[in-house]
Amino acid sequence: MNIPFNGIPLTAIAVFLMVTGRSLVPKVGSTFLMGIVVALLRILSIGGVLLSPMIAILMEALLVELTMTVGGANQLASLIGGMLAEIWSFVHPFVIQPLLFGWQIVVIYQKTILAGSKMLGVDPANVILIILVIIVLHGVVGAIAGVVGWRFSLRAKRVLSR
Amino acid sequence: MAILAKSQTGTQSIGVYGAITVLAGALLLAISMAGVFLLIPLVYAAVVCLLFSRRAFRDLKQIVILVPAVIAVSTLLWQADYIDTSPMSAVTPSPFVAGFLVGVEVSVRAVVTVLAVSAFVRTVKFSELSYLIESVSRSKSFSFVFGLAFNIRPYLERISRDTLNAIKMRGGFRPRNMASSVRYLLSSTTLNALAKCQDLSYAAEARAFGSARSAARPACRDQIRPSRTDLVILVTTAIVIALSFASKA
Repeated sequence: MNIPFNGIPLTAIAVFLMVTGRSLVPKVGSTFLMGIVVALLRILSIGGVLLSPMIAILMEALLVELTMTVGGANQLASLIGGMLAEIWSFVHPFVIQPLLFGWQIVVIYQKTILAGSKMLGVDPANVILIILVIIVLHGVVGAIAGVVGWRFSLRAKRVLSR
Repeated sequence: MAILAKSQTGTQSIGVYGAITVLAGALLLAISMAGVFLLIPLVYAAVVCLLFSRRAFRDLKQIVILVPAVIAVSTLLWQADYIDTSPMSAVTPSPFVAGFLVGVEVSVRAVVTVLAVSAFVRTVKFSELSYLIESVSRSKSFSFVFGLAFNIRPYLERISRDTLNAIKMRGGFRPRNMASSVRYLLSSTTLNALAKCQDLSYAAEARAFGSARSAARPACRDQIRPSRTDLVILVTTAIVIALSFASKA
């Protein structure tokens, strides 16, 4: 469809679909199974960077799965699960890359941020604030996606039962 | 499901156990080794790719930009206060040389990761992989669900494209109605997909898949057993890992 999906919108759609699927199939493990299927489909699309997105997909599915297993399939759990999954999409590279490429990558990031803030004349403390704002933005979008997915699933149940 | 019976390259010599061993072994070595010892996972991954999946080398083009960028950034920004913690600190007192070597180290890990994942993807047979997941997760219909998801992708793409075009023809996806257009696109596509999946699941139930499977007692599949090549890979990987940790210690 030539639509560039990544970051916030891609994860929001994934949250929407995961919550909808979990609401329609309220079985323990169904969301994680959904994640495994999508991760395997991601493997089949050869040519791209594979490992990191696969782990991200599985982790997001796991977070929604855990939240909706512990909290039950309801609107609040959808909200929290969506929020956590969306925040993970931002945190993911900072967790996975040190694991895969070594701790030195963290220092390289740190140095790049400091050099960038110096170049732009921004206080490094503000950079941390900007990162926090981005995390909150991700959380809000994820929470909205979770709630929308939950409400949509109620509508989908009505439509499908006709 | 016929498409799942083949691997990406049709490799016959390596099974799912061998592919998983290669992936796990290479990643474990890449994560746990440092400095000169990183040559071990690099050589291991390169040899495996040479023997079983030469096309995996093509996937290195993914990191053609990443590798020089990481080396350049680490060379320029690595500071003297980090030299002592660098694995190469004993050899290189200069921050630039130490930074360069750190960049090389990170890049080698990236190369090993790409080679290992590409070798896994290009050698594994998806039918075997899905059967393995099915037996591990005790799900009785994972292979069917995965095959269904794989085969339904073109249908999903078609209905989403049709819906997108229909909304555009009615004046959708303009700045003033972007939100409602996205809502219509998502809800319509998802509902159509769910309805299609519901139809397919009824058809599958009628053919003794899903919950009907346990009652129907269909014929068991052949168990996936490791081939001789898989066992050789397993033993070789274990020896390489043991020797690597011993030499590092």
